[in-house]
Amino acid sequence: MADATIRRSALAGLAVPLSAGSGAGITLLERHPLVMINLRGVADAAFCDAVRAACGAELPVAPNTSGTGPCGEILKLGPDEWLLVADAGAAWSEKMIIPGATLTDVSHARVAVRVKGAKTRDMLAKGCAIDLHPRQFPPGTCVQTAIAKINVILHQPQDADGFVLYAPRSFAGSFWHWLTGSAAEFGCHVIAPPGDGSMPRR
Amino acid sequence: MMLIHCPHCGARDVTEFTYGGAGAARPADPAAADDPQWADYVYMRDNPRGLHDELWQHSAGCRRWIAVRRNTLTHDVIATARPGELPPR
Ligand SMILES: [Zn+2]
Repeated sequence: MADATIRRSALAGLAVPLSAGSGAGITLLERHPLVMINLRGVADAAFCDAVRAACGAELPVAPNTSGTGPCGEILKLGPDEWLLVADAGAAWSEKMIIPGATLTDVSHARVAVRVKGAKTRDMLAKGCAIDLHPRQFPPGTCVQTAIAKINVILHQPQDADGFVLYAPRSFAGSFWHWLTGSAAEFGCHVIAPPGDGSMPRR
Repeated sequence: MMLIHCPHCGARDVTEFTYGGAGAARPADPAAADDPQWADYVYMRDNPRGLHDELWQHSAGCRRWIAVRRNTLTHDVIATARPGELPPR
């Protein structure tokens, strides 16, 4: 499992604090370090029961949805594929046994950035073809799409506090430049993750 | 812009997909197929004006291969399904 003590974000040195004064329409906040586990399996009744027992959360089976529980979030990626996301050190990252499932630790594969603020939808719409209107994209919606031609997972958490975007770590630099460039016209505020994104967390 | 209805993700922009060519049927009994039959399957493609059954991959989405029935004249997407599950014409 991912070891939080040696985690260095691919955004270290990029996602540095930035103040836009009082006029910030967009706030960017990196989520780091996270545990991300790819889950594969056939979503029959026994599998859903096993996931519920292991994660304390309902397995989302409808297209473009997500679930949330005490341990973290479950993002639906495909007909037989999900991504489990939790803060590093969460209970389910230590021991996870789900009968009938294939679990793969992909914690280092992506960077995650929370984007929030009054202009979030306007800003994301500049790079993505998904309809972000709240009627089409309510809290809990999760899609995979391309933003500025970078494959991303776009998730609106149940708490509706903005959107969380997951991008491949090898694209972290260009992804970050697209985010800050697109947010600039609205006033872009950047909050640093705990530590500076590279220091040991525990 | 062309929209394709992914059976797993719903209607998405064509830029999320990669074209995979005609969804030709493999020889029913691969072990018994001779060279001309394989050559026909691998290399020979119709170029119809009108309905065309083809494969696309939802490469920027769920990454699954899907079957698409498309009108090559109008670009209308008539039907989509999992591979092999398009309804008969
Ligand atoms: Zn799809």
